[in-house]
Amino acid sequence: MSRLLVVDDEANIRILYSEELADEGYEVVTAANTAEAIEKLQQTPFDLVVLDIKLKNENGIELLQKLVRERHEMPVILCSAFSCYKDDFSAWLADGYIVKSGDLTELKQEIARVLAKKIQKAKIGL
Amino acid sequence: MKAVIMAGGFGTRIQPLTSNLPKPMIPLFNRPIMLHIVELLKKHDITDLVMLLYHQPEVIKKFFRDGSDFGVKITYVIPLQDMGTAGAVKAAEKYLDERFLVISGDLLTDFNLKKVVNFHNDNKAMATITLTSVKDPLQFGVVITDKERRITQFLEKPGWGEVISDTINTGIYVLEPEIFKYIPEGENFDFSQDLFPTLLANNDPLFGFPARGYWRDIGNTDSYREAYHDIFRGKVNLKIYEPKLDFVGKDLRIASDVTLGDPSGLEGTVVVGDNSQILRGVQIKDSVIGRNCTIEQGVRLSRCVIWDNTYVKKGARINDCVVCSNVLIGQGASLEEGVIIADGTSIGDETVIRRDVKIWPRKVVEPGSIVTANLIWGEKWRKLLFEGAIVRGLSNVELTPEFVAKLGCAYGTMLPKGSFVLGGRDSNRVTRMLKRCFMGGILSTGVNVRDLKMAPQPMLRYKLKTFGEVGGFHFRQAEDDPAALEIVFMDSDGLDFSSGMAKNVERIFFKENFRRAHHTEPGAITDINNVADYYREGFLRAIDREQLKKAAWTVVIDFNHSAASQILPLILNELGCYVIALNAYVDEGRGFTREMDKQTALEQLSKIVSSVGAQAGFWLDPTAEAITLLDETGHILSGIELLSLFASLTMKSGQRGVIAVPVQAPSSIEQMAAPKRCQITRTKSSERAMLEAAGSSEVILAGSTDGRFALPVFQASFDGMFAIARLIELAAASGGPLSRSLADLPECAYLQTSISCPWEMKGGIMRKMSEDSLDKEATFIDGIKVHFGDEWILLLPDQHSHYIHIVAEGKDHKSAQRLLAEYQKKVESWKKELE
Repeated sequence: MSRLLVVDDEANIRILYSEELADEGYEVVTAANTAEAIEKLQQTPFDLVVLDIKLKNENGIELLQKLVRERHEMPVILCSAFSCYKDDFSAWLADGYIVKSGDLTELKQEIARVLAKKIQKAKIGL
Repeated sequence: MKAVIMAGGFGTRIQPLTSNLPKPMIPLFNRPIMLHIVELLKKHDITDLVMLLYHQPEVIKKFFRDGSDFGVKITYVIPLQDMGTAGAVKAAEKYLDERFLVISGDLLTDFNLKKVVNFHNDNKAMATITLTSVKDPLQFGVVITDKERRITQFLEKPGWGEVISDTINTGIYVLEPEIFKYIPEGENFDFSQDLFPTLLANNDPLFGFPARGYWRDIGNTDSYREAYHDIFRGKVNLKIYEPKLDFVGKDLRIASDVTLGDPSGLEGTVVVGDNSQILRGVQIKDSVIGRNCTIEQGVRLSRCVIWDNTYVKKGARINDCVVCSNVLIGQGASLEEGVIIADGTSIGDETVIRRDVKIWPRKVVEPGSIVTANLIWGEKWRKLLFEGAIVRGLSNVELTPEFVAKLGCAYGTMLPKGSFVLGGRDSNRVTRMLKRCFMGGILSTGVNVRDLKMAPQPMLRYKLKTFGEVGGFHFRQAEDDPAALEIVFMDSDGLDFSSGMAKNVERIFFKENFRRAHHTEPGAITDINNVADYYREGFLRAIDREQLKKAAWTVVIDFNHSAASQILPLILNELGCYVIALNAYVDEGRGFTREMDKQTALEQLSKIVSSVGAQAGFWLDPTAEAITLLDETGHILSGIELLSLFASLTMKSGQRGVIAVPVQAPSSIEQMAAPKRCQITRTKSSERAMLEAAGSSEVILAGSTDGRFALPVFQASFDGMFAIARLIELAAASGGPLSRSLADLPECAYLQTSISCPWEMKGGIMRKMSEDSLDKEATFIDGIKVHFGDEWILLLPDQHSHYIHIVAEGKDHKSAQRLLAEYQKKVESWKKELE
């Protein structure tokens, strides 16, 4: 079972994502801000992080850069209510980018795609 | 009475039929069109002929000579320049001192010419124009007459709004010598444009005679084919020279020395020229076959025209086509309606030529091809577009704007509507031009393009590894041929296209099964400007800055006028290197360095490196994917030396992980790895195979034997720019000069050669090699590698050319030489056996 960390400042979103993604068979842990996310990442390993860009007074991109520097093996999917960040090259460090929507189909598909890619990379027979 | 036959035209509109013949000599039922005109004149007692020639006159003169073979007397007149129709006749004035008839040498008609002449006499005309009614008068000169048939008006090629009659000028005139007074000497003067309007203005007796019968101007290839259809339908009375065979219900005209296997498959009118062979089991309907042709078993011809010396192999199907002389049609080939195959062309087995395609002379169409567009400029139509992930061809000759636009349509059709692709190009002007055409094709399918414009390919690959694009393409000039262009296709991870993806694009391209976006939904082009910054950041993150800054190397880099010159010097400067950049400006008009120039450039680079006291020199290939290294002494490392050195420095740096090398890399790399903490893995030699291996989380370096390296710590793609920085970092960490690291490498006696081998023989050679290797230790990663203890030999068929590569590694040079010679001899003898 893959373990996901959902980082979002909105409680309702965290609840929605947790329930929906748990129904998909993932183990979901949530964090409301950068500090909480870092703490949870230090406690236990995750297979993937779903990261909101706007975290109240913080910028999710900064956390993304930290994760890329320190845990570049762990994929990150950015979530934002805005599509404009797609053109921000700092966001390109992520493995996926989803514009938030009430319909979580795209998010689920993206999570499945990124995890499959990660598994594939680890599996390449040498 | 005399007649003037106008036979000077170039026949431009009827190309490629006129590629080797003047238009009047194009065969119509195995005889030149002009001979049918001569016969028509003779039939109406006009046997004193003046032939006006201009283009390829010797071909016509050689055929007709003095005319005695055809029962006429011929005088030839060849104007010195193009004088127009009336001007050309003026050149023959001294032979035309009585009433004469003018007729084109490329008409098909059965008009009663006597009636035209009689009408002219009865009306005491100065000029009589023969008229006929046609359905579409727009492309002709419309003529209006009064009740007495006197001409009152001319309309030259009118629009529908101007058409007040369907009666046109047929180009057949009866004229009195008085007309010459109106034609100026030595000037370009036309009957329709100049002479007749002058007669009309002067109120001279100018008449139009509406002739009855068949008339056709054989102006283009469609008209040529339609002329045949009309003859088959009996619409025109034309003399067929081949004798009629007595068969009930068939109109068979068979010349002498013809082998006719079985006439039961022949239907309608079938004409076969001298010395041709029609084998059994054919089906031929309404067709004309020339001299010395062979039609093999199972061939189906319907409404076809085949000229002389043509060979149609088993099972070919040709429908309503024209096949000129000296053509080979391969087994099982299919030619759809309206196809024209010009002289000397070879059509491969199982080829499909789509409707209305014209193939110019002396082309080669590869077996199994699907030809969808006219083949005019190139020499070949290839069965496959892709060589691996690359489409390659001569710029603006094979890869024309229309070709790449179509390729863009095929590529876009394969991708989801509304998705994004990333595009880039090198610094060349022709790649810029063709990339724009290609992008037009993509947009037409509703796919968007993010345009990096001029950018090194590694940078494009780096961006593709992020989200947002479903694929990418890069246009570049071929390194080995400045006249050729390469389009590299990449998938959403920046990897080269897989063969499956390439086949998919080919399938869409050849079927022309394109998705056409609604006019409100074409794709958009957006410029993307942050990629260089993103690349730079990632680059700096993946390198040990402190190590480089401490070393402060001076390096000389030849940038080859590529886009990399805009990026790498800045990064290296930031890393504390002093860069002496050569050819570091972008020059759109300049072609890439040829191999010979590369050698010159390397020699020059070698001198500069040693004279300025640099620690290293680099020659960056124009794609920015491959490098050539020179040590501080100016020694130019071979590809094998560079791979060994890179691997050695990587191992010395203490990194743990896997180093991926191709199957033909030397075994000394494994020897070096044994005491270290690295493993060596062998991959296939293809770029994609190497990069797939580089995609593994364990791989720290993937290197080829031609100077291309992928370093997954930055990106799992070949990147010459990063390889340069990484090499400097590793070499600096080793603490000594490059020459010492090079001297520390285990000795390796490594030799390779290539043997030319036809495609169809490659499989046989590899089978022989397999049989030969049965009792030996062999590996089959790519090709066949046979091990003899520490020595080995590899036979590797080239993916894209007619070569088999032989690579040998021995304990010393002598044993490698012996092994190579032994297998060279074997391959040559296997080739002889297979022949």
